[in-house]
Amino acid sequence: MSAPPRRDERQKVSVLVVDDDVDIRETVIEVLADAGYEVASAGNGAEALEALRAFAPDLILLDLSMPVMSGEQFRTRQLREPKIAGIPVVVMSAAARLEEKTAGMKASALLAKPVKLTDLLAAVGQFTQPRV
Amino acid sequence: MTSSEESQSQKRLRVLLVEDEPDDAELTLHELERAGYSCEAERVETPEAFQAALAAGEWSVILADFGLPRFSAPAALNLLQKSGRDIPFIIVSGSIGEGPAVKAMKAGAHDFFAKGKLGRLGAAVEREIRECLVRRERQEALAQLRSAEERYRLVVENVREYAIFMLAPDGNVKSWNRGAERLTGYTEHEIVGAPFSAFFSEEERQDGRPEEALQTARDQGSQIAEGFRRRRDGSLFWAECTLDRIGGKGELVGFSAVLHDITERKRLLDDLRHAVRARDEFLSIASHELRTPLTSMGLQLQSLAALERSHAHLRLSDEKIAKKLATVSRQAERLTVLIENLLDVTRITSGRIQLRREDVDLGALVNTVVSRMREWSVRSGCEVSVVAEEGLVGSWDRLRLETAVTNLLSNAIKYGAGKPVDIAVEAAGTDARVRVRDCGIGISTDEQERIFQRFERAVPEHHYGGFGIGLWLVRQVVETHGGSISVESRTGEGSTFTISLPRRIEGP
Repeated sequence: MSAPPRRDERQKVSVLVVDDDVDIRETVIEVLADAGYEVASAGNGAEALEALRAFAPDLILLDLSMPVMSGEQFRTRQLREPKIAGIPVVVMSAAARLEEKTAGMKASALLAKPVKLTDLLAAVGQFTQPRV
Repeated sequence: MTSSEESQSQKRLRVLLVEDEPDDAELTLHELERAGYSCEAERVETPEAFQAALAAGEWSVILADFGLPRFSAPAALNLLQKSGRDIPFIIVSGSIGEGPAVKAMKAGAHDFFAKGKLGRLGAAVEREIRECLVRRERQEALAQLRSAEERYRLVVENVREYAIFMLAPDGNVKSWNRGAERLTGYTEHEIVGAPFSAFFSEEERQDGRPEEALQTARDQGSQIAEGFRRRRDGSLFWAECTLDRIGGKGELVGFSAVLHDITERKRLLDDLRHAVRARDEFLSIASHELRTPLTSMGLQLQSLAALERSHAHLRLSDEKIAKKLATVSRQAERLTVLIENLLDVTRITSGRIQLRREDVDLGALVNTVVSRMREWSVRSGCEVSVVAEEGLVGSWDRLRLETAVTNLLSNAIKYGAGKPVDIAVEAAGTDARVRVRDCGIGISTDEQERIFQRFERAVPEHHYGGFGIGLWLVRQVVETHGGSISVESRTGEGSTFTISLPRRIEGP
């Protein structure tokens, strides 16, 4: 888990990347940072919940298949907590039949791995409003 | 002579005469010859001679005088019947009244002729011979029928895995046999009269299945169902059960019931279905696994291309570019390993695993694998330590062994929960041993056998990376070397995998 950026530091749009694959985490952090986002990461749902205690991102980029706590389980817990329930979630997963799998998750968008960089940036841009 | 008389003259007759008067015998034979028979005759006048003659040969007909000094027609008839042979027996006599004649006929004599009135003797002999032939044919047919029934009974009784029996119209067991007893454990004494539901499991009985089956057979003539059936000892077997109505709807005679024990067939089918499911699951996992490195690789390459287009790369440090390229190349490596594993599975499955044996230092091999995986283990927070006996050399396939150790170590890191992993390499008699121990999530006892199967894993699908073939592959490699693999583990306390390899090839 990388250190969450402090809210008062800069007014950048922030994204929490939740994925168990360290290479994907690092890559996504890198490309989103290059695009000007503030990015934090977590290796599974439980770590993500932990991160959300200290930090409220504008968007959560969520993998589904993860050890300890899956993306589905995380989303259920997130929606139950009023403080963080409103943060939009974009699901990014290599699972087959993604739409079927995420039917009850109320995700803002679905990204199938392998995802194109332009699609990733478009999805993230669409659901994050630059802060005034 | 007419042609029909000529053909009759061909008819040969072996005649046994019970007669004390040679002249009378002569007359009788003459009468038969007149009727177109060519006779071969023997004359007897005592019981002993009669019995000897019966035993000595085949006779077409017996012609007996009623009263002889030391013998009689009834006595001869009695002896004939005792011998069990069926030969036309005709009384030819001059000195009896109607009473004794009728009595003899009732006792089994076929006809009666008075001496001197022999005009129809030839016709009577012909008729009796014909009837005797019919009797013999009927008896042979009966014997054949009995033997067919006996064969059928033997089949029904001796057929394995089948119980074939009859039910009365009310569904109670009517007939039973040893085959049915062997399959169900019930003796005839115990089961005849008991309801058909005796063979059903408690659950099916409560669901009213037995009545349902009988009703269907009653209405439609036949009912076939599969399900658990119960033996006398309460044990269950998976059966195909066929009920057939005997008799029409109006005049129901009963049912024939066949219970076929198909437990083994069902087990094979279930195994097959499981294998197909496992394969489908594997394909889904495989595509998931291949997409993961492709994601990082694609994103890195596209980001490099985007930077290039915007000339941002001019401001990019060499270090950053090198890092991106390293990520890309690492993903290529991951893909290579995944594909290698996939190919190994197909090679091993089709029996094409061939060892290239050479002298291999096991400690050195393990250290090579560990250092190759150093980056990953560090990133996962697992500290890997190796204690290896030096100079432990054996005749093994280096690449396959590397695959095996890599799989064991990557499992230890993957399921190791970021805790230390120890590897020990040591000699054990004529074997060499590699022990990989992690302190991670562990494996429950139930799962320990399953994990060595292909496409199986202890944890839910997708929540951990990998194909579910790692340990299967390790086992195949180790066993092809003549070695073995074992696991000790407790849930939540980590796992220890040990592979033992003979250092030299055994046998010629």
